[in-house]
Amino acid sequence: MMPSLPKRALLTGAGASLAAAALPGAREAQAQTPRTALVIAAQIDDLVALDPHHSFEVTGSDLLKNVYDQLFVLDPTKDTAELQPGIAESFTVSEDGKTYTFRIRQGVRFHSGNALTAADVVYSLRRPLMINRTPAFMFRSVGLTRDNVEQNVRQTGDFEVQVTFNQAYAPTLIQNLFTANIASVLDSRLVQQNAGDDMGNSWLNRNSAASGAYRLVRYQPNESYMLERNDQWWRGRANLQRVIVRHVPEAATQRLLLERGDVDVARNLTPTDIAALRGRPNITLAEFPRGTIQYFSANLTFPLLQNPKVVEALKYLVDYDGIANNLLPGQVFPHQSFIPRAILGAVDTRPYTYDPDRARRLLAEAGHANGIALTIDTANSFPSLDVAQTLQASMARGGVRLEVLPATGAQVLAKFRARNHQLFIGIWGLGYPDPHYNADSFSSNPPGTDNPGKLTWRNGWDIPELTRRTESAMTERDQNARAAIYRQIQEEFMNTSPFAIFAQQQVQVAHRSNLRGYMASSPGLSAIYWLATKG
Amino acid sequence: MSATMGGAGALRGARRGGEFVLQVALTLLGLLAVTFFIGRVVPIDPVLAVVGDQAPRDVYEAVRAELGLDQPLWWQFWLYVQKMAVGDFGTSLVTNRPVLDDIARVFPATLELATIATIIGVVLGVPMGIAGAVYQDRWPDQLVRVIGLVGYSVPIFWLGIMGLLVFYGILGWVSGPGRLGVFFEGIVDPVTGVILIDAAIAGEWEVFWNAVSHVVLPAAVLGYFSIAYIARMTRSFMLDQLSQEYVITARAKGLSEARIIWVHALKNISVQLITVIALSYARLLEGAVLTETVFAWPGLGRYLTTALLAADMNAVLGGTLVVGAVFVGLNLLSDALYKLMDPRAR
Repeated sequence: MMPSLPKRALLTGAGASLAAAALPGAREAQAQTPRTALVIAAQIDDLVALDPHHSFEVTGSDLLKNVYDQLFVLDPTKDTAELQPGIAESFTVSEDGKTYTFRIRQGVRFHSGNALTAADVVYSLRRPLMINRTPAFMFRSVGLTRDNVEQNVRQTGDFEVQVTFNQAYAPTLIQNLFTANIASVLDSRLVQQNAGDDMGNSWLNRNSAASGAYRLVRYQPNESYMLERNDQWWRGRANLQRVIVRHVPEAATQRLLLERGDVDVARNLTPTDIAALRGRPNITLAEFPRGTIQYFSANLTFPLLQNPKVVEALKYLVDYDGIANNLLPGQVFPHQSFIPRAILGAVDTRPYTYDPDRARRLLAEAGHANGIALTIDTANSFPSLDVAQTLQASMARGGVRLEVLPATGAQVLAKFRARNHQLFIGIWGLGYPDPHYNADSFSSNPPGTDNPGKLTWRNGWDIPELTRRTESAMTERDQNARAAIYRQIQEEFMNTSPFAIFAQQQVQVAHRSNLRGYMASSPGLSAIYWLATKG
Repeated sequence: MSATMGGAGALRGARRGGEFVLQVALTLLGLLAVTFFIGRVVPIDPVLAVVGDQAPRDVYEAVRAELGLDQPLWWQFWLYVQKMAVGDFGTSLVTNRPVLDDIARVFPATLELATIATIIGVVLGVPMGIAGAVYQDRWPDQLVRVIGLVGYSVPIFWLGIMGLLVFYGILGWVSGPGRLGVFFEGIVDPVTGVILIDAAIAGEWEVFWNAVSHVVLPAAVLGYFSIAYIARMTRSFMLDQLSQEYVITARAKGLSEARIIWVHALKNISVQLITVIALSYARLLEGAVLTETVFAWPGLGRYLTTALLAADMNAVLGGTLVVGAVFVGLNLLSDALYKLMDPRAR
C-alpha cells in the first residue's frame, strides 16, 4: 500500500496547502497538561452503558469504579486480590450460612449531598434484577430473582441491610461479587427523581448518581468523558482534581499526543509504538495484569475432535513462548489455566510447551499418522487474527493443516454459540473478581440443559463430576479449602479439557514520567484514577 | 384572463412541487429499504452486539424480543418506516442514545470539516486548473499535474499521519487530533453544532481559534484531495473553452488575456464546475472515515462505520438517510445555481 513516491515530495505537497505559521490556537500544543488533571487518550467507543447495573465492558468499568462505591473493594495497592470493606463496613453470616447482615458505613454522602443510608443499598441491590440488563445474571447465579428480591433484600435498620441467598455460599464469593459494578450503591432519591419509565436506566446512561472518588461532569459517546474530584469522599479525596479521557481511535495518534505532552497517558498502543517509545526521556512504560485470558477451544461434537489424543496433540502445537514474547510482547504473559493470576485459587503451572514431535506421535496413536485438517474461527481483528495465523504456522509443523476462517466478532460468536465451529479463538474476561465466575463457564456444564452462555456447552464438553465439584466450591466457606478445590479443578481441566489457554492479557500503557500511581488495570478489574499523582 | 393564467401557473407549480416531493420521498424510501434488507441479511447478530459474549440464553432471548428481531422481516420494516415517518429514528445500540441526537452531534462535525476542505479545494484547485490550462504543457501545468497525481495516489490515512507528525508533532504549528483541546470542551453550548460558528456566536474567541487550529490540518488533508480533482477538471474545461471561437474573437478585439480567462471563459465553465464541486462536496459530507479516525474527529463517517460493525441498524439507517438527503439537497442546490448562472436553463 505504501506509495513509491519520495517522502519529500509528499510532504511538500501537504505543506503547500497549509499556512506557514503557527496558528494562535495551537499554543496549547506546546503546553503540558495541568498538574491538577489527568488526561488520557484511549479507545472508548465500546463504552455502551454508564448505568452501573447495565454496564458490562471494561471501558465502562474504568469509569464506573472511579465514580461509584460498591459494597466491597479489592485493595488496588496489592498484587493479589485482597478484600476491603467498602460501603459495607462489616457483615455477619447467619447460622445456616444463607443470610448476610451488612452494616452500612455511616456519614457517606452522595455527590448530590444526599446522605447514604440502608434504603439506598436496598434500592441498589434490587434494581439490577428489576431493570434486567446483561449483568443481572450475576445476581441470579446466587439465587436472587426478580420475584424474590423484595423479600430477600431488606432493610433491617437505618444502616443495616439483610440479604438472603438460596444456598450457603462461600463468604468470599459473596464479597467478591459485591465488589462488581452491579453492587454499586446508587443515590436512590436522585435516581427516582429521574426515573422515567425505566427506573432511570436511560438517565443513568448519561448521568451519575454516585458517592465515589470522582463525579461525572460530562460524557459524549465516542468522544470523551470528564470526571471532577469529590472532595468529600469517605476514603479521603483523590490527588488529582480532574480526569479527562478522550477517545482517540488510532494508536499512532495516541502516541503523538503523548510525545507532545498533550495527554498524560496513551492507553492503546501497539507493540511497535511501545518499542519506539522505550527509553524516551519523560516517558515511562508500564504494564498492568488484567483478568482476561486468551484461549482456543475444540468443539467435541465434531467427530475428528472426539479422540482426546487429538485434542492433546493440539495443545502441544501452540507456540506459547512465541506468542507471549514475539507476537504480543508486553500485551500478554503465558498462562495456561482459567483462573487469572491474582485471583483466589490461581495456579501458575504450565504443563504444555510447543512440542511438534510429541504432537505427531499423539496424532499417530490416534490413527492420524498422515496428519489432519481443521478449521479455526476467529474474529478478524487484533489480536485473535494474529494468533490464528501463528497457530496455523505452528500447527503445520505437527501435521495439522489449519484453515483460518476470519469474520467480524459478532459473526464468529454466533457461530461459536451455535456449536458450528471446529476450533475457535476466544478472549474471555472476568465479570467479577472471583474464581467462580470463570469456573462457571470453563468447568461447569449441568447435564440436560442447553446453555450457549457457557463455554463448556459451546464445545460439547460433558463433565458431570467437574460440574459437581465446581458447585461445591461455591459453598466451601473456608477460604483456603475453597482455593484448594479450584486448584484441583484446574489441574484436571488442563489435562482433559478441550481448551488450550495460552495467555493472560495485561494492559500496556505509556505515560509521562511525572505521573505516578495511575493504574490502567487493577485486581478489581478496572483502572484506578484516584491514586494518581503528578510530580 | 390574466387571473386564470396565473391560477394555471400556480397549479402547474404546485403539481411540479408535489411530484418533486414524491420523487424525493420515494428515493429515500428506496434507499431505506435497500439498506434495511442488506442490514438484515448480513450475518452479524445485533443481539450479541448488545449483550456480549457471556450472556446466558434468557437474557439473549429477552433482548432479541426487545429489539423486535423475532418479528417477520417485512413487519420489522413496516414498523420502522412508521416510526420514521413521525421522526422517531430509534435508539442506537452503540451509544444508547436516540439516533437523531447522535446525528445532530456527528453531522455538524463532518459538515465543518467538509465545508472547509471544499473551500480549500476550490480556492486553490480552480486557479491551479486554470494555470494548467493557460500554460499547457509548460512547467506550471506539469507542477499541477504532479500535485494532482500525488493527491490521487497517496493513501489519505498515511498523509494524515504524516501531516500530524510534521505539523503537530515536530513543528507544533497546529493543534493535535480532536475538534477542540480537552480544556476547551464544554465552554460553548452547541447551537448549530458547528464549533466555529457556535464559538463566534458566543464570542468565545479563544475557543474559536483553538477550533481553527484543530480543523485546519484535517481540512487541508481532505482539501488536498479535492484540489487534485477540482484542478484536473477545471483544466480540461478551460482547455475546451480556450479553443472556442469567441476566445479568438475576444483576442482579436484586443481584450486582455486576463479578462478573457477570468471573465469570459471562467463564466462559461462555471456551470460544469458547480457540478464537479457539488459532487466532491457531497463525497466529503458522507464522512471521511480514515481521516476522521486518524484525527479522532467525531464525524459521520466514523459513526456509521462503528454502527455497521456492531450491526447497529437504527444508526446505520439514520446515517444512510442523512447521506441520501445530503445528495438530494446538493443536487437541488446545484440545479438552482445552474439557473442562476446559465440563462438557457431558466
